[in-house]
Amino acid sequence: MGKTLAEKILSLKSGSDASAGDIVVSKVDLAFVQDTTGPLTVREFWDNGFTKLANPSRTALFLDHAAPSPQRQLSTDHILLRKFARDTGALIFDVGEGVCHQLVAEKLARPGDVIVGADSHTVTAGGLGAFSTGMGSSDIAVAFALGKTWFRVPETIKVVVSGRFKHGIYAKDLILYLIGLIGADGATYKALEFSGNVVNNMTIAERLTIANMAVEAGAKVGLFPSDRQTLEYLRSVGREADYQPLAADEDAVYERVIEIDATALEPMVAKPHTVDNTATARELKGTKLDQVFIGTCTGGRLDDLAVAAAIFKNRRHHPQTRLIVTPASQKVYLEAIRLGYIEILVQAGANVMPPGCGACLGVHQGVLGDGEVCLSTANRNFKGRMGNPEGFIYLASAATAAASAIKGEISDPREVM
Amino acid sequence: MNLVEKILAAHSGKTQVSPGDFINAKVDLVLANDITAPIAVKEFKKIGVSKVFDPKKIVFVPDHFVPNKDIASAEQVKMVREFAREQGILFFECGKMGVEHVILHEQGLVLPGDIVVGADSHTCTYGALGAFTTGMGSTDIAAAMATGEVWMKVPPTIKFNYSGKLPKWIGGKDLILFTIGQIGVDGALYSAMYFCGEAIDALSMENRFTMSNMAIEAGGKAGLFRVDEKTLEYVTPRAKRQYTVYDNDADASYAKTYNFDISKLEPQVSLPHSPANARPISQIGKIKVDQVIIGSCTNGRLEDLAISAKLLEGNKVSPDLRTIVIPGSQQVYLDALKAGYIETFINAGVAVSTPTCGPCLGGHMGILAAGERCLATTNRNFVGRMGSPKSEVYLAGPAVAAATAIKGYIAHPDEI
Repeated sequence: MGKTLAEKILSLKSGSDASAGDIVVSKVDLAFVQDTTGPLTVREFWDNGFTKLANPSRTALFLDHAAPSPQRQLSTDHILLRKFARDTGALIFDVGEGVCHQLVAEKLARPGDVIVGADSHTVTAGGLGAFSTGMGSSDIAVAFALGKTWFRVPETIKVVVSGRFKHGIYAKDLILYLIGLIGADGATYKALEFSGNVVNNMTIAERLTIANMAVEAGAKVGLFPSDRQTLEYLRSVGREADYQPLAADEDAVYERVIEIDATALEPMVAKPHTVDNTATARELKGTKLDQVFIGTCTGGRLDDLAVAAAIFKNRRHHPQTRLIVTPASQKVYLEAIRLGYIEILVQAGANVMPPGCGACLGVHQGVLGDGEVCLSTANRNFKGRMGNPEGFIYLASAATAAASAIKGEISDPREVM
Repeated sequence: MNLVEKILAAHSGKTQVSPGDFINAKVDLVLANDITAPIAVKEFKKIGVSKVFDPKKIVFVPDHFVPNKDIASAEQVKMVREFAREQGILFFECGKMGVEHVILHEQGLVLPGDIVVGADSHTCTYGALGAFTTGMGSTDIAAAMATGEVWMKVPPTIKFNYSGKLPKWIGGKDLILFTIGQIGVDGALYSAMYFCGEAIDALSMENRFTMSNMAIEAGGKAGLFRVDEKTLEYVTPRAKRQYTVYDNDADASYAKTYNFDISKLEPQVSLPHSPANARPISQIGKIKVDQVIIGSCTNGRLEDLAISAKLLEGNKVSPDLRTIVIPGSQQVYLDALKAGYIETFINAGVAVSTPTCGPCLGGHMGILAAGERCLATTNRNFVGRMGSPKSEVYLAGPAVAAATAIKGYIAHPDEI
């Protein structure tokens, strides 16, 4: 019987013939934490009597959620993580280097890897063909020490995307549409596996955006094949040697197949306070915005900044709408400078923040006031997500975000493109 | 009369004022930020007038905790924004926003001869333009917003004369740290500090702003420079209204005069926990730090970033510390971007932030944990200023800051 991508990777990493429903113990190729989950992981690691990492060069700590730190307690957490990295030889990415999931994609994730991270959006690396998933801090502590973890092999939902993205439509619109279609629990503990001609032609940046939000439909992973696009990306980040092709078997068994015609997609927006509460940008036209946020592991990559810069060229944000831009990594920030995007964005009136999670999770750098409305390229719009339960968050693509920042209200980007 | 007395006399309708006189002065500009404006607005509402005296002469700059770091700061800014909209007051929204004491003179809002009062202690920064500018409490600012006037006691003026040629690496920050080290944090209490001399004539405007900015750290009511060609060159393209240049009379008197020969001055570092605790860098030993901050209303201008970028070019910041660079305004950011400094910083491993006061006052963007040390180009190193009361802040200029970022310990720029 043929295997899905999830079954293939977990078979390989557990040295068994794994099928959906099996319990396997898998090798872990990369385990990581960030600054909100890391301290818990480190304490669990110590409490269990562990002192050594199974694989220091494949263990990573990221200071990205509160970076640079807005509070003493968080600064103290950073000290703990820096010390842990020094003592154990783990990799550490300090404040300002970028969002963990973007750095994992740029520097660490390889096709076929099993990656576990103490952050729900660890699923992002599925865009590179890695079985990559979020876990609790104590699970990660064990993975740190033993270099392995257990899984129940997930059933797979195949998402076949045909047609093409029309002008003004992006990967973000596709994943918002899918989540709206199947619901926030539509893929609970399933693998989402993406295929079809649109997927074959997608850049890794687009795949990372889609994989990133797999968890917003409850999925354990969001997987893409490893193909020429993957090779091209790995080459662009100087890691060609990490490439291996990877595809599901033709006769793999899927729990369900969902077909989406990309040609029919419109710019999508998730309304407060759940990601599956979707509508088209056109339907929400006129919704006034106090803030627009372009950034995060979902929508803060170079192509997002490129789209935003193209729209903002010679335009300014609406005077009543604040604009915050947070590049996902130092590499993204540097390339955006070299390509002139940052200059355009600052001239458009953007506040450009150092790479990190920024305003996404409400720690700092753009917390909403009571009753304020934000449109964000991030992945979550739960009540209170951006720091204030009295705030309202809409999610959309960078294009929709840029167009809406100019108009001061939710707008269809095709009107300004 | 001296420069200070002339400005105060002209604004209070008098031909002559002397130190100790009480005057009612008309103000040219009233300033408040996201921390002080909410209090000023509440006080204003108690006065019982519906309109501010002149919305064009009032400026609100949300800069301390912006982009908003938490709900409380978001609420503060929201309240100030709404009041500004209702009254037609100039409000520097996020995106135009920068550190108040970097953008006001950059945008031509403060001009020579002005009286400016601001609900922020470093309002003294604009004294570099030959203006009388000073910080006041939010309640005083509320009254100024309502009436366009403030009362003041005319301060005595202390003259600081700097002779000698500026040595390499020495800037306004070194001169002012040295001066505060000499006279103490109360050395110019309620006095106007007047900076002059050969070394001052040679200073750029940016370096002069740095010195005026820290007048308050010696207790000064204001810190002024006379208007010269450099001032006019700075002001002319920015001014959108008339202004008056005042100068000291030949027989002007001063409460006291200090003469400093700075030809052999070394880069200065103020050790915790007082700006007056200034030392020549050769005398402080090897002090390792955990964080370097380059920014603030003291040293967040283009020239400061240029000096830092030049030293960081082709170098990496030490892996044992983090370095945060915060341009003082959107214009400074843009100019630095075009000059390639931002690229240099990022290549060196620096976190570059949007303009904000940020960590300077322990707000956000680089708060210190207990036991941590920071070398900052800011103006205050009081206990707990940047976070934990058990942390330490060292003050210096941008050259020492960049050298420190590379070395991991407080370093002389000659080491690079």
